[in-house]
Parts: sequence; structure tokens; C-alpha cells
Amino acid sequence: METRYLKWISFGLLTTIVFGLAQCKKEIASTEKVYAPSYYLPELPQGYPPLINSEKNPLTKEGEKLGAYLYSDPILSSNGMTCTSCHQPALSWSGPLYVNPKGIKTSVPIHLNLGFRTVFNWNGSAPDLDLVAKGDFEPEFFNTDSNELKLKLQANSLYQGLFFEAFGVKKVHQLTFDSIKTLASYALAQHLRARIAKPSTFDLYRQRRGTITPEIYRGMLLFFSEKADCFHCHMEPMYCDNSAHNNGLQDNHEGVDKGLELVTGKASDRGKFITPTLRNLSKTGPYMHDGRFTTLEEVIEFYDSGIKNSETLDPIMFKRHEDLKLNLTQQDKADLVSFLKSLNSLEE
Amino acid sequence: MKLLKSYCSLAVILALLLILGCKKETPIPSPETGNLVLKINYTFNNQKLIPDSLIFRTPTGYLVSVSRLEYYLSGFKIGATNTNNWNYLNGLKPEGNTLLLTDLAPGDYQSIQFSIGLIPELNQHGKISGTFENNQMIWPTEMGGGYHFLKFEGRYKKEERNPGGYAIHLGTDSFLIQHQALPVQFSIHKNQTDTLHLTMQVEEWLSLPWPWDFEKDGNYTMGISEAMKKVMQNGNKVFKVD
Ligand code: HEC
Ligand code: HEC
Repeated sequence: METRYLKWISFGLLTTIVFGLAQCKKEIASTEKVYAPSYYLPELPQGYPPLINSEKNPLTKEGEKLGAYLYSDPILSSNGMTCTSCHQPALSWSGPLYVNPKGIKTSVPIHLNLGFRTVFNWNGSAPDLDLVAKGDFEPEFFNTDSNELKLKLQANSLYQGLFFEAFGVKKVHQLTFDSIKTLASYALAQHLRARIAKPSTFDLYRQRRGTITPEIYRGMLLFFSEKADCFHCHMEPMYCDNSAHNNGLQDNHEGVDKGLELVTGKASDRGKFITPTLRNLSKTGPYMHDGRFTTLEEVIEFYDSGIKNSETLDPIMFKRHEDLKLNLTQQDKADLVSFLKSLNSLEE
Repeated sequence: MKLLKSYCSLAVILALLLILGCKKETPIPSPETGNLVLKINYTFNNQKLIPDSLIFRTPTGYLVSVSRLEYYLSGFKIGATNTNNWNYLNGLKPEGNTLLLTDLAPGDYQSIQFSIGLIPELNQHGKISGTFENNQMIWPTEMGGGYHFLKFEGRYKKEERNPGGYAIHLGTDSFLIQHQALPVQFSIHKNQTDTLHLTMQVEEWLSLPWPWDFEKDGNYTMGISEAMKKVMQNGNKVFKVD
């Protein structure tokens, strides 16, 4: 509480001083631009939890704008790659399976509603959205050459202006490579925080602004009841839970399949992955951390009869059944798929 | 430069004056009440509860681990006075183990009482703040609505069989747990925050009057009235005062 107070006071003082300075400066050079970012929070759909803003990188119109530019601009990379090379706008900012040079397959996660999440990457290795994009400058991704980046930024008056408006730095190319990466990552994080899912058929139904088909209705009953019991991890409106579970994809876990264990070093975290959202699934396949399933039908088949027991299998997966089976009928399975598809946004 | 300096310091003084001036107009009334912090410990058979460890023995002879222990407390009664406080708690996370009761009348008290779960006035979607945690506790409309009162999950094992999993969940108004009154001498002081330590004896959920046998009583309770009734009855004495 105390520090918050102090923060506001010092913020107030600083603004006054900046304002004062600006006034004084005006007499000397009236053309100089003032750093005055506009702090804001995006409007949220009904029923959403509060957006998790960053204290060190609070959302501003200008930061978000810079992030939006950087997201699809090859300026950050030395190989022509952009964020959108993998996180493709037409695929709800997810993408085709990514295979790294070692042959490890990773499904490209959707970039939607990230501002409500507290942990990132499939195995939970990234706790801070502000810094996730810093990893993209590495040789495996953007392979960014620091001098080349600085020269490109120096020659680019648009970005000089955008960086100033977003963060108050006048000559971004004069910063260290690490600082440039941090600010770029901050701006990208702001852009991602501001990207809120557009309403789906099911959202409209929940808000009493639309109807659903009998198939979707029956699928909804399965999803939100003990019958299929999906909601315990995929709860609306986010359809994810900021925590990691072993949902039973396999009974022995090697390499990347160890999941959260690779981050925490705890055997009790073996095979656990962060629950992904279920919005826009029609565009975000292949499914699961390694993209092992291509269709939603395969996913449902897995939850119905493919769950494998191991020491860390989530207790919820046992339901009432010894045999780990849901015993869904063909109709049930089709209804669940219809329900999942009703979570697709009606527009991007 | 000099001009600039004096201009700025003037601005600072003005800003300060403004802040102080504003404060004067809206004086914070000195509270006539006090607060109480409840700090909750978790034990299993008098041992500290360690998450995800299949080492705790239940009265019916199972080894169990605990991988989730989330619940609400509400409907507090301090002495004979009801309070409006409620709180989400998480037994496996350090930040989820304290709760603050505010606006309590100063005085000496002999007991504290509360419900495990959300009292009916709060147990409707949207009645409590829509935080991520509270949303995760929603008891779907399709199953009766409101919020989970308790999520108690883990694994169990008997003899050489493969460990199973249990998910003991409680929700809907008729299964709200009225915890028995805890006798304890404490005082609330005006304008102060006092502290009381409680312990949840986690094994009590699986003890009396229904010593839990996962193979007979089930490993999953959500929506099963008979099972939830047993959990409710086991749960009314899980807390003790340290
Ligand atoms: C070469 C493909 C590729 C490029 C280019 C790429 N990403 Fe990713 N991104 C991935 C993959 C694959 C993952 C999943 C990594 C994991 O979980 O281990 C991921 C994960 C993420 C996540 C975490 C999402 C979540 O749900 O946990 C964020 C945030 C992210 N990327 C942002 C970016 C930004 C910003 C850029 C541009 C600077 C970018 N990515 C460029 C492939 C890419
Ligand atoms: C115990 C928690 C839990 C439950 C219950 C659960 N899921 Fe999942 N779900 C997960 C986790 C964790 C993943 C990611 C696993 C991985 O990638 O290794 C996942 C992945 C998925 C995916 C893939 C999403 C993507 O983007 O790749 C779909 C679809 C899905 N679940 C649907 C369902 C359905 C339908 C149900 C109910 C039948 C269900 N889930 C029940 C935790 C759960």
C-alpha cells in the first residue's frame, strides 16, 4: 500500500516536472516532441476476469501500436522472419507444426487472451509475458545480428518515432542490444495483452444474444458435467486455467514430454503441460504440445478411451471410472466436437 | 537554467500543496472497528501437508497424496456477531493461506464460527468478483450453478495396486458445511489487526463419521448427492485452533 502511494506521488511529481520542463523548453524550442504515453485498458467482454496488466510495462496506446508494427515486420530478424511467420493471422495467430533443427515438434500456440495468463509456453517455462519475445532473437528463430538491427533502426524514422512515443527513448539504436530486445519484447507483450478474443457463437448464447443448435447444446451438457468433465481444466470464459496437468497422453515421459518437470526439476511435475485455451480450435491444429492429433475427433477419441495412467495423471482424469474411459456414444462425441466448434470466434 | 529550476521547484511545491489540500477535504474517519487475520496451517496426521506426496495414511489404510486443496470460507460469526467476510483459500500455495476479517466490533470473544463454502447469498455466478481463481471455482450452471465450495484432489493407493485418483468436490447450497464453533479466547482492538492461527487437519475429510474407502465410497463426488453428504458431514470439524 505504502509503496503504491509513493509511486503515485512520484508519478504525479514527475508528470508535473515533465510538464514544467516542457513548458520551459517551449520557450527555447517549441517543435520538440513530448513523451506522454496514454495509459489505457482494453474493454473486456462480459464475464472476463480482470486483465493482468504489467507493473513494469503498463499498457499504453503507443506501446501497443509499436508492438503491432513489430509483430509483422521483419526488421527484428536477420533472416526475414516475423512473428507472423509462425503465429499466422489467418490461423488465429497459431500456425502449422513447428519442427526445430533437432527434429522436436511443437504446436504453435494461439495468440489470443494472453493478458489473462500467468504462465507461458507449453511446459510453463516462461513466467513473464513481457519477456517471452526476447527468446525469439536467438539463432533458432530470428537469428538477429545486433549491429544490423541497430543500423536498420537508425535508418528508420518511423520506428525512431514509435519507440520514442512508446518508451521515451530518443535514439533507440544507441541502446544496448539487450535493451533494444527488452523494449521490443515489452511492446510485443503490450500488443498481445490487448488482443482479446472476438465473441463466439457460444459467447453470444451465454450473453443471451444468440442461440445454439441442439448438437451444441448436448455437447455443452457433456462438457460442463461429470459425464465428459472438461470444465475442470478448460473453464469458460478462458477455457484454460493457468496451471499444468498431465491429461494422460502417455504413460512414460521422455525428453520434452516430461513437460513441467523440465522447468521445476520435480518428478511430481512429470508429463504436465499448461492447459491451452479451446477458443478458435478450428484454426489452431494440430493439437497438444507436440501436435500429435490433427482433428478434434481424434482429440475426443483420446479423452474417451485413450487416457494412459501414470504417477502424475491428473486426479480429474479418473472420474468415476476404474478403466479411465468416458464411455461416450458416437452421438456424444459428435456433439462434443460441435460444442468445441461453437467456441470459434465469429470474426477475427 | 535558474529560472527553470525555480519554476520546477515551484511546481513541486504546488503539486505537494494540492495533494495535501485534497487530503484535508476528505478526512479518513478513524475506524471504530478492528480486524482479524486468520492464518491457516495444513496438517495430515499431525505432519505438515506436503503437496503431491503419496505418503499420508488414511483411517481406512490408503496412502494418499494431495495435489489440490481449494475452498471458500464465508458466513463468519465472531462471538454472536455475523460478518460479511468471505475468502478463497488454497492450502497448497503460501499466498492462499491467510484471510482478513474486517470491520469487527472491538471486544473479547470466546468463539469463532464459519461455513466452508459460500453462503447462499454469495453462491450465485457474478455475486463474487470475477477473478481468474473465482472463475475456476465455478460450479457449472448445467450442474446447479454457484461455485465449488471445496476441491480436494490427489492420488490414492492400497497394497500393490496402481494408484488411483480422487476428486472430492463439494458445491450447491444444500451441501454448505457449517463448521462447528471453535472455542477460543481472543480480543479485537479498535484500529488494530489481531491474528488467530487455525489448522486444517486434512485427514478429517476422510475420517469420521464416514471413514472414506475410495473403492466403496467412490473417488469422485461432484453431483453425487450421497457422496457429497458424507463429505459435508466429515468436513464440519476439519479445523482446530492452534
Ligand atoms: C519459428 C516459429 C516462431 C516464431 C517466428 C515465433 N514464435 Fe512464438 N512460439 C512458437 C512456438 C513453437 C511456441 C511454443 C513454444 C513452447 O511452448 O515451447 C511459441 C510460443 C510463444 C508464446 C507463448 C504462448 C503461450 O500460449 O504460452 C508467445 C507469447 C510467443 N510465442 C510470442 C512470439 C512473438 C512475439 C514472436 C515474434 C517476436 C514469436 N512468438 C515468433 C513459434 C514461433
Ligand atoms: C485435467 C485437466 C484437463 C481436463 C479434465 C481436460 N483437459 Fe483438455 N487439455 C489439458 C491439457 C493439460 C492439455 C495440453 C496437453 C498437452 O499438450 O500435452 C489439453 C489439451 C486439449 C486440447 C488441445 C488444444 C490445443 O490447442 O492443442 C483440446 C481440444 C482439449 N484439451 C479438449 C478437452 C476436452 C473436450 C475435454 C473433456 C473431454 C478436456 N480437454 C478435458 C487439460 C485437461
